[in-house]
Amino acid sequence: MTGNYIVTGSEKESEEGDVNLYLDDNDRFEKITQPAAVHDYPEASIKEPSLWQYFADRIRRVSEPLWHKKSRGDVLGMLAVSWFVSVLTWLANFDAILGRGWRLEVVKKLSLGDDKVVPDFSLSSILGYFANGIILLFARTFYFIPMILFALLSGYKFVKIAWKLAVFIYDKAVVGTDASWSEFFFYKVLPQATAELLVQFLFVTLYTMLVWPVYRILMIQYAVGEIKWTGFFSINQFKRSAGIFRRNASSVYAVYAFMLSLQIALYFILKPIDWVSFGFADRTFLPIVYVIFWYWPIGYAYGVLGRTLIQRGEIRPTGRITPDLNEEYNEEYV
Amino acid sequence: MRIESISEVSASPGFIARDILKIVQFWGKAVGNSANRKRLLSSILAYILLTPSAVSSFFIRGWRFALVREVLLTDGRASLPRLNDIWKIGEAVKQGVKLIGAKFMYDVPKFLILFVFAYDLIDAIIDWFYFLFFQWWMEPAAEVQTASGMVDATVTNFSLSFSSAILLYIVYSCFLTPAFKISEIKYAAGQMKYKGFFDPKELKSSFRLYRKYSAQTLEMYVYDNILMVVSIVIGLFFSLIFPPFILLIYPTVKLMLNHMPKYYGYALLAQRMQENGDIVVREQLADQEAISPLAA
Repeated sequence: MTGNYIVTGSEKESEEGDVNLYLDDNDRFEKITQPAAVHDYPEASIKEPSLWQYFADRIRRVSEPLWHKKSRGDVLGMLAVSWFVSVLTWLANFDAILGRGWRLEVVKKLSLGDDKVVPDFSLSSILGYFANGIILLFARTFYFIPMILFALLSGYKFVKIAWKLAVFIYDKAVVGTDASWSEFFFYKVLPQATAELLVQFLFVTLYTMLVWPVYRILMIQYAVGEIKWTGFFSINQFKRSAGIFRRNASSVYAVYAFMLSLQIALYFILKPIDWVSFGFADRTFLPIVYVIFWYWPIGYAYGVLGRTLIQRGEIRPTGRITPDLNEEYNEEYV
Repeated sequence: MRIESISEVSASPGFIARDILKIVQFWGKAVGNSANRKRLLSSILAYILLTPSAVSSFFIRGWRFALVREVLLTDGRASLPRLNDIWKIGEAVKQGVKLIGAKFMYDVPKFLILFVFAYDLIDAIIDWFYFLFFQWWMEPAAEVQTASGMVDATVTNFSLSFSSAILLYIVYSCFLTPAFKISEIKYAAGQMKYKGFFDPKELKSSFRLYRKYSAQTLEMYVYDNILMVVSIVIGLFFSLIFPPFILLIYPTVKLMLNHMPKYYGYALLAQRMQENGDIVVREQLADQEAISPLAA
């Protein structure tokens, strides 16, 4: 029997750790090897870049086009229009529609390898951003319908719990019943509310991790002209996009996860500012913040993803691709 | 000179002590070695950045999977997964989603049965809570029920439900969960495809391996649970002291004191299986997507 043995108590144990001793069929010594154990270091050299360096480098690359001489005017124009629209449509929030359309243009330009990544600023292009923004808003709402329905159904159950609570308080305060708070809470509120929250959590998780990324792929396909706006509402198209997602899940998650985190983090940072200012911040300086820190990086990231998917042959754009899909371009932007 | 067979060695105190020492040494190398430290800091950064969206819970499962795979692929070197761009993080998230899906399928029966027991227990728990908090502590004068009366009223329900729940938990902990961990190791080695998690044949082979390595698997499973509790306590302690930094502290503590050491433990188990020829490590996962030069 040839076995694999750990030898302890050998002379070299203290300096070199364990050794593997191989015995032959007659249990005679065959060979001794030095297994790589915890004492060994990874192959990686100190020169291996860290994620910190990677992010620092990407932040520089992502922000560079914004202050590049040839696109400075377009950026300032977009900021001005965004601010102007937000003030003009104080309650309707039209700047969000404009922002979405503008972001779609960023996705398109980066995916197709346009020399100038920042979208143009002209009256016709602004109207185009509005038009695309409205389409995206509809598509987004459509994809949110299951979530909305679920929230309504779940919300109805919470309303029932709230109703029970109101009746309980009324009975206690007006009728003067001596019912116990603890019993009410533990029997009538806790089990139902906990079950409801768990189901909500499960549903939202499934939706966020399995359905929403497919919508993002559809958005890229729409940006590069592979599908028309009707593609958002086609079951066959959804299936095709789900297939792209399944085959390229790690690349999609790579972009999607960070963008989702960025959006949620920004939401929790910016919304309190908005609430404290009674909505004033959202109509004055926040639209500018959104363009720079929300629409631009998200558009850029999905543009990079679009570029990757085009290169893999998963997405077939109808637009002109310039420059060619070469490594020089990849180095420059990705 | 003393010789121990890897395949036949029992979980003797000496062997357990050596494993603990290896885990501690690994932790030391992760913090002390500059290349490893860089990877550790990268992992912590990714974990923290993904925390706002809760995608971190998927990421960390994929990261642990990558840790086992890295140890196996580098022939036992104490190296952490390389995470120096978002594409590798995406791969970890993807694997995390798949592993959580598989684990969920394994845990559904446990959840259902525990739910039935818990529902049965809830009456007794509420009665006790009400008695202890409101009658006995807050309004002793209004006490209408004695402690012995409470015990008499709830003892049967409690003991039956509680003991059944504990029994079920032990059965699960001793059989299915460790078998799942072994399936996870096989998947990390590239020996099993993802659908193998749901294949009775693969499950049977995982049980066979578990029977062979039962002592070592349970040893790692015990570390797993101890480290989980310790990291939660320490994480909460520091988070309570510095509440504004909870999003920075908690993931850091969890990764360093829980996920990293405990999955190195499973990596040690995987190495033993590899050395005994029970698992074969493949360079490429069966369902790993080809990374284009753009994403590389």
